[in-house]
Amino acid sequence: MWFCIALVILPMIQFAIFYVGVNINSFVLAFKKITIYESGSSYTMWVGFDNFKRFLSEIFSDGGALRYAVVNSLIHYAVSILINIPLLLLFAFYIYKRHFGHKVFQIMLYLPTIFSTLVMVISFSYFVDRAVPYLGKILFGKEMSGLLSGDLQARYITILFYGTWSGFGSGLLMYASAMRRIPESVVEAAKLDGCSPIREFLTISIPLIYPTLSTFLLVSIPNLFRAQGCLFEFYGTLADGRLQTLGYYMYLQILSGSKNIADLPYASAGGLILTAVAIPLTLGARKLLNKLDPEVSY
Amino acid sequence: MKKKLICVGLSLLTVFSCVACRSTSEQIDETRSQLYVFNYDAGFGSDWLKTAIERFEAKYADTSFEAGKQGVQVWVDNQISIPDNNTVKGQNNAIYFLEEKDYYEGISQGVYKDITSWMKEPLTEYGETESIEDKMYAYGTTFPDFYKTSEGKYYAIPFHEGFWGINYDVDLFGEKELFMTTAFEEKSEGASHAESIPAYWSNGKEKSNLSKGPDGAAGTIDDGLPATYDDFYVLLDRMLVRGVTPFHWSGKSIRYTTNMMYNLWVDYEGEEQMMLNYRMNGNATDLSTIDGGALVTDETPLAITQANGYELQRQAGKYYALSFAQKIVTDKRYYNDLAYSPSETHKTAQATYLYSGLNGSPVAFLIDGSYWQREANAIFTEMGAVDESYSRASRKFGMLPFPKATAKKVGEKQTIAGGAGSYMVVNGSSSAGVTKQMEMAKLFIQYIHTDEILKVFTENTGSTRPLDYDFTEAEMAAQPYYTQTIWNLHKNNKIICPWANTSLIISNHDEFNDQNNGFKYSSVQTTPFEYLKEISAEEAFGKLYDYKKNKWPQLG
Repeated sequence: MWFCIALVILPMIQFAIFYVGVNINSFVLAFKKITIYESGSSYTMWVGFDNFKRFLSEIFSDGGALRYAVVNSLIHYAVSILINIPLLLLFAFYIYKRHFGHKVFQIMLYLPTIFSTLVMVISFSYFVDRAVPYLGKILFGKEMSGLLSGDLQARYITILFYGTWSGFGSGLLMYASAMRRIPESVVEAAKLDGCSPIREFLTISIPLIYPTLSTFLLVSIPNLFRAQGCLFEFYGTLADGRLQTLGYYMYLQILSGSKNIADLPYASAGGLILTAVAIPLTLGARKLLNKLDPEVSY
Repeated sequence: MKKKLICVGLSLLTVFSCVACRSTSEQIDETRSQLYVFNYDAGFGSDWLKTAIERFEAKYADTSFEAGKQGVQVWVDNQISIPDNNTVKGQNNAIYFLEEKDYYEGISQGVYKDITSWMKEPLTEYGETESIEDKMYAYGTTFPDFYKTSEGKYYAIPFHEGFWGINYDVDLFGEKELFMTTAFEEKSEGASHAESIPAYWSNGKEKSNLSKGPDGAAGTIDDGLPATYDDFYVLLDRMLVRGVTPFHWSGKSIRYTTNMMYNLWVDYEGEEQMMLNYRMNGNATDLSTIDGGALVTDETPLAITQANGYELQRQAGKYYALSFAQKIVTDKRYYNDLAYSPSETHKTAQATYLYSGLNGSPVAFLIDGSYWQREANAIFTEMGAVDESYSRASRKFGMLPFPKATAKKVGEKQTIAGGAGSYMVVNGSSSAGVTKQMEMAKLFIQYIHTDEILKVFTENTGSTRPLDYDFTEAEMAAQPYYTQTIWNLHKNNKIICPWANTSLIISNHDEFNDQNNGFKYSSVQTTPFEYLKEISAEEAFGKLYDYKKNKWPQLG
């Protein structure tokens, strides 16, 4: 018993300090205001829900960065659910069926996960900002700006595209391996009954990998609030406010707070508000996904 | 067998990754006392520090700072990231050279040591009569006001005066005849096609034929350079005629362009008016509004207090800075194709700029910090290895003295904002490891503020420190041309510290830095070089005022 205690005591202490303690401090910080005086001393005072009000008012203020961040986060999430996941499932099915070039697809789609994000971002930005305009000029005789430095719409679509492409990695392997676990006998029986590939995909593969799919769907909900869309890697702290996501916006608040502690209470309040939204959303999604579960097993 | 080999290979990879990345040929000398220094090894590097350390160690080779040891060994921890305050508290470094750190926050957290007595002590140990504080005040700018707390204490010493501006290729100006002549100066106002009239332009060799430049005086370092914004716009067109792309900047570090615009604003306003933005105490004399598309200045000055500080967003200099920027960004011919690309980091932008002449598309200006040449050392070395004429020693660059917004301002000294977030501190930790270094730390801090080492700093970095020190004419003539242009700004003009130690400013650091205080009009649009492509300078001027006015009550 003592051995077990000795084994876990250090991790427990770390957990208590760096997780529990930090979160309790964040909670309390959200209700305070920090002022730094000319002498260098600082003063902390209780301001109730002022920081929360400020955060919420910025969500609802016209043309505010936070409002754009909320909308953009929803768009990024919608793209991931409506485009990314269906494409992932289709590619996973193609790879699972070992159709022509499946190994090439597997490698190309998994590449962004293998390489460092920075390397991928730099390579991608070099390609879209230098090679694409050059190709546009050579092939179509058209002068065009780089896709990340030109007009806002082009930048927005390019960021979404990169997010979709770079998001394939681990999901692809998970879905493909989940599909590989489907018993061959089920697939063969379906074939004998004249089941087409599309029918097989929709009525056999998807229901049978539903547990994996629903887990991914559930785990992706916090990403609605955390995903930066690789904006920091592309633009540093200077991404156009109209491109920002909630994850990026909150990251900038933390960066600001690391330089000046007076900015931390606002960031804490924002974090708590987003948590208060994320929890019921996640629980609700779990309930919905459980309801939609076809409850087939093998 | 295959699997075993793979496992062994992966294990070896892991082992190698555990080996310390930093190799050092120097070992700790147990016979000497150790002094540990942290250096933010970015734009200014550490070469100047190496020279200072060599001389310091030699000077104190026979001095005993602790029993059983003789001499001092200074260890420098060069890093490219700044430690946070908690990390500083736990480290053994006695001295820190820092940037972009909030000074007053460090004091409030007890991270920095009170070094007031060190600042006030004359440097007699080194044969000088002035103290560090004396040198700061003798320099005559606002730096001491910021670094001295309301209780009269010092916890840091300002480090460098690095600032952002328009760097220009002097060789290119000569080759493409981009210097202005006296004939240009004397031309009638509104004369058309001035960019194409040969008599107005020169290769710069005939000094007596050059225009007087922004300082309005002949025979000075800015001769032949544009005196006013209007002159500058003609120069842009001249560049196009001569096949030169005027501008390049880093799309990834596009904040440099905002810093440059901020300095345009500072230069217009001058020290007294500009410092109102931070002291909130005085009369603002050039507050303006846009009326019928024109800038109209208020008839009577406005008394500025903390209650109405947002009115300073209507300073005329801000409008002129916006109009200058708009002229550049609304014509794609005036900047390089890659200027806005986020793939263009500050270093790739320097490479694009330095290599531009080789591919037939030379670029005249690079918007960057005054430290850029040291940062681009590797590129200069690479180019110099192929052809010596492209090395740093052979090429001639300068920091363009800002043209004046109006002809009335020609002749006024330049005013520029130097780095307020760059300073050196002493670790306030009471640990034994730090405390035993204090005697050496004090001597080292004082030593690097002797005239000798202040000059070493300028010689090595090409930049200046906000203190009073001097070079002889011969010494300065031996420096690279770029250093000479920076020295001219230090010696003959005004570099100010755009900050104040009032609670309003300190507690709202982010809102009052040069990025946000100058040119942010919404939480969305922060970079004028981007939003001025979509809205006019006049519209931006109004939006900047409205934004600050609405934000002001939250800053109290």
